[in-house]
Amino acid sequence: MRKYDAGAYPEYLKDESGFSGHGEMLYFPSCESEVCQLLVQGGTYTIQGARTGISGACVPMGGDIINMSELTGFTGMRRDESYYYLEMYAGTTCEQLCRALELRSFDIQGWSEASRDVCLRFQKDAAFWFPAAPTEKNATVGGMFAMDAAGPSALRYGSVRKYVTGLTVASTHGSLHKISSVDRILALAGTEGACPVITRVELKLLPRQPVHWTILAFTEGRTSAMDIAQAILSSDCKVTVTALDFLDEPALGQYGDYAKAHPAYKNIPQVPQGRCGLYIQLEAGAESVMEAFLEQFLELLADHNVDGDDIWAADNYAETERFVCLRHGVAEALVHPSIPDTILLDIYTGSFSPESFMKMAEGHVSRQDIFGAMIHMGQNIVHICVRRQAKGLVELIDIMRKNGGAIGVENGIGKLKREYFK
Amino acid sequence: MKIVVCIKQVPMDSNVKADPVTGNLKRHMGEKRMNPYDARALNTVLMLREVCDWGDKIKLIVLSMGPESAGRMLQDALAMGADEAILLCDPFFAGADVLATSRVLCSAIRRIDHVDLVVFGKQTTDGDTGQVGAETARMLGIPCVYQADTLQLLKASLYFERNLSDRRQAGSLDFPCAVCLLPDEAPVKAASLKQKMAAKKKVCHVWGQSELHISQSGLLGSATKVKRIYPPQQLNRGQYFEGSVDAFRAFLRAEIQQVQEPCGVRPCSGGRDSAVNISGEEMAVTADSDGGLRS
Repeated sequence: MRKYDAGAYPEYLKDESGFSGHGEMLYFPSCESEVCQLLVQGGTYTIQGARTGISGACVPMGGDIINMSELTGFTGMRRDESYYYLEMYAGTTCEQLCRALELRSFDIQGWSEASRDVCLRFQKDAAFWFPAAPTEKNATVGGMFAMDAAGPSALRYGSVRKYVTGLTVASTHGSLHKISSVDRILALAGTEGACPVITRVELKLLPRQPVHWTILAFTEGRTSAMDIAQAILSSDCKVTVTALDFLDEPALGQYGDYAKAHPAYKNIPQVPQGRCGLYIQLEAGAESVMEAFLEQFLELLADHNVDGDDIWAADNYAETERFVCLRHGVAEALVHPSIPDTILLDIYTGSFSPESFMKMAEGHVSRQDIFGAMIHMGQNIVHICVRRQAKGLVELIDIMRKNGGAIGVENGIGKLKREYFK
Repeated sequence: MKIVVCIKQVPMDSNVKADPVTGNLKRHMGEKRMNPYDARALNTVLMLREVCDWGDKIKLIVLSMGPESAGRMLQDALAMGADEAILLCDPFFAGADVLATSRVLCSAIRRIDHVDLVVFGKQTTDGDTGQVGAETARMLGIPCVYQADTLQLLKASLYFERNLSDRRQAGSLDFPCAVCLLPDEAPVKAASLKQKMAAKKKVCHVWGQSELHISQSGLLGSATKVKRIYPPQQLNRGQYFEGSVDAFRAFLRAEIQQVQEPCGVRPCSGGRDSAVNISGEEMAVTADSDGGLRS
């Protein structure tokens, strides 16, 4: 097992938020028995995946680090009448998972005969997918479960916990245990590595609807975008809206600066300046159903004076990936804005609508201290980038909590947000 | 003026497996997309038309040889702004190499008639030959310029600049001519919803052997016979190094000297990176001043 002095590798002492800690030794187990060996030794451990989280959950505050990123690969597959179930090591990345599903290609070395048979059937069957995959493709499956991450399709499909049907965990006695009870799995979801070390995860795969569209519409002003979003959510359409996100003007501005500095975004078209954005993902069982909805949708946008050129559409994998990348880039830009000393809070707005929350936020916190917001419409989850020491921020959070809201909803509580829980 | 842009549907994943029997690439697996080099080329031509004074007089035709599923990609090209799409689809064309593909494309371009400019991307991400453009132009009997990265449409000619490995070259070609474009920096424009919806209503013409009157094509009409395709052997020769930057430098010097001596090759120097080429293999090492290292 590779092990290092953690102090020599500062990258492993922080996460994507930049929140930094300290630790003694850094271990990279590459098999389950190595994880067990470490746990038997005793001591204090912080468990890490790919360190793509933004709440500091994987940041050590002393003790040793167990980084799971070398424990990767698929270990088996089973099926029932409706679904397939794929088991993998916890360090397998979202990218590896999505690519394997898309190509229907798995390294089946060491798989049981039963698993191989199911895999053969999977390869010939209709398309199945993991609908809770986050846009951060470097995230590990174990980390996604530990954070109970939610992907862009969370509006329709919910977060990772809904799709975890089995876990293998290593206890402090150095033994491995299988967990398949729904209650126990749900109890462990989102615990951010505070419970037994997860070594394997089994995910439920869903059949995928055949027709998919992703739309990016750019509107003048927030109200217009919010009204369009509301109209879509309350419409009686036959398509399934799997994602509906609002990206405000400052957030798109932050993205523009961020994208210029990061080659990963060089293939993404430039977003129009001075606009708000709506990111919409749609699914349908037939082309005709989708087309009927899109005709109505165009009329709705025309009623809100949205220019035809400002409605981008993708109906194939390559184009959709570019839009997903753009959406991820907005979130990344809000985590790493060009302004120092900020924090990206994820807030469940409780009894407040996103629009009234934003108005209230602007009433409590100076607009100069708010650097952009991304809102998951229909879920009332607001990701807002604010100055960490902004006046009125603690009061705003207090009001939210008193009205059924919560903080640390989607990206976890971690260690970074602890001051807001005092 | 008529411009034909030749585009190809390729697998989303560039790691395409080969059929062990025929040696042909198994292109039917996984998601498909427009070859990214062709998409860039089409984007460039669309932008050229936008800035051209007589842009409204330019008819842009996208042409693709492939299976029926490539019709979907042609619709994407129509949504991007192409005026007409032609799919060259026939089981007779299947398994074509550069020569057989060029023969089909040449025949189709002749059938379109009065084409002034034929545009290709640099290469495809599946076949990777990068030769179809030149071969098609040769069969058409028109001049072809490779590696072009800057174009301007003039009244009777095409101004180009191209990036050769050791120099840049500028020139012009009288129409009709062909050009193989290097991808530019501009991202491919996103199609609007209106364009997408309109494209679905446009007709994509399908031409087969009977329309093109070709007697030789596909696997049988190919000059290339693939004996075997196999992935290169993976050489896991990496090793971890721990220690100070100075110790790492000394280690590297010793390693480089060891591989240099039998070949009499000197490493290239400069900047943060050091590299040495030995018998066609390359070892690149980066050492960061903060003590981190990658190789």
